[in-house]
Amino acid sequence: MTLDELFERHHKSLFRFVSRMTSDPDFAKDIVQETFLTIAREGRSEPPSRAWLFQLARNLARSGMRKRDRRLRLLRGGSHRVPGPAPTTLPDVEAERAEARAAVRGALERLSEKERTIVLMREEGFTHREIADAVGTTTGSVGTMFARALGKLEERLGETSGDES
Amino acid sequence: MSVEHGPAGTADAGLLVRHLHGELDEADARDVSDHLAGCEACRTLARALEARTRRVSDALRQADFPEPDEHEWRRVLGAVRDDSATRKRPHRGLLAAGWVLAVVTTAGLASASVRGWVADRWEGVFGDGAPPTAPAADAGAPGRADLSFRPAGPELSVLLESRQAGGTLTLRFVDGSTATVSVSGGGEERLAVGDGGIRIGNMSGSRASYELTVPSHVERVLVGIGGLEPVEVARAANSGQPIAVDLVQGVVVRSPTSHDEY
Repeated sequence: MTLDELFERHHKSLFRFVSRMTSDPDFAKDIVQETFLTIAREGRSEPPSRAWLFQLARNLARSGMRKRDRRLRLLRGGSHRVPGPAPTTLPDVEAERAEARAAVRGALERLSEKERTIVLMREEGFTHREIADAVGTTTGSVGTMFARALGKLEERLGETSGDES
Repeated sequence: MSVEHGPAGTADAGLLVRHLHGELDEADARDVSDHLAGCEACRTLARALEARTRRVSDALRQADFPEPDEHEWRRVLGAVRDDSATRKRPHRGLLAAGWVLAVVTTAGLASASVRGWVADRWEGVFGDGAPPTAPAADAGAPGRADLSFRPAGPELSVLLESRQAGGTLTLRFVDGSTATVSVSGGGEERLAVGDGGIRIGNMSGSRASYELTVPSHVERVLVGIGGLEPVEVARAANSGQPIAVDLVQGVVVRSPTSHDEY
């Protein structure tokens, strides 16, 4: 499989996974690029597995988020405040979507990083074995953590929809 | 497998999740199915888990960010292709910008392939010119390169660009202030050394092994392979014997306290 074929096959699901993980689509796009750059630089004779690709993207995202958060802390702590974007009026559909996004983001943030990865990898169709390898746990624990994460997500999403009513 | 109820009065939710996801073997799946057929409480929990999964999936999809358009994805793929093509040019230093390099005190080499490797290393550190001090030849160790440097901080990183087809990284803590690194069995590997550690430009087909001695002021050693986040593999406080990292599996082996996969 060529690099182009690998990219065609996986770039969209990688973007979805990382953007859900980080709630930052621009950052997610950068991570997708960085993931394929890393693969290309490795000069592999065989293409990496899909699970390996996602694990690499997850690690790059975690590392990148730490750096990004550090930069943000420095900016916030400095004497010069960085102005945010001017408030804009969103069309109704976009406003609803933004609200939904905020609710899901809040719910995902309530999970541990491991639980979040388990839920999002399962959403991408990975087996418990692949997920267990990625997060460093047993296949039995994946089921338990998945069930726990579902409970937390639903609780949080229920709270949010309750807030709105 | 017998399915038993826990304190909540139902089977373990994790077991039911594994069943719903088709992750149990045939015999266990049959046992859980038989149990569900006769247990209303567990059937209710299983249905609730299915419904929760659907609701969470729907919520995630509804909240998804718009994807970049095709033009943007073409640009991303183009950047990957360009980088890949550029890196294949000969005599290009492998070091990424920002990898700050400092003291390299000695280097030894013998074979032509290793000589090229050291030259690349110096290129990476000092640009395309010759190294300020010519490395000394060591005719007694063909196919092998040795160099030493002084790590500045309490943490030493070893970053390998690729998982290899063979080889190990063996490290041991020693008295003194100088770290040494030796490479054997390789040919294409390139190395950059700095205060923070070592960056190894290797290929996935490499079978090179690396031996690293770590001075006593370094408190911990981290290893990152193939772009994965560096992971701590050794602490000076626990340095009873050499620690080896299998560069194929990314597994710490022959360590007295760990056998960690990362």
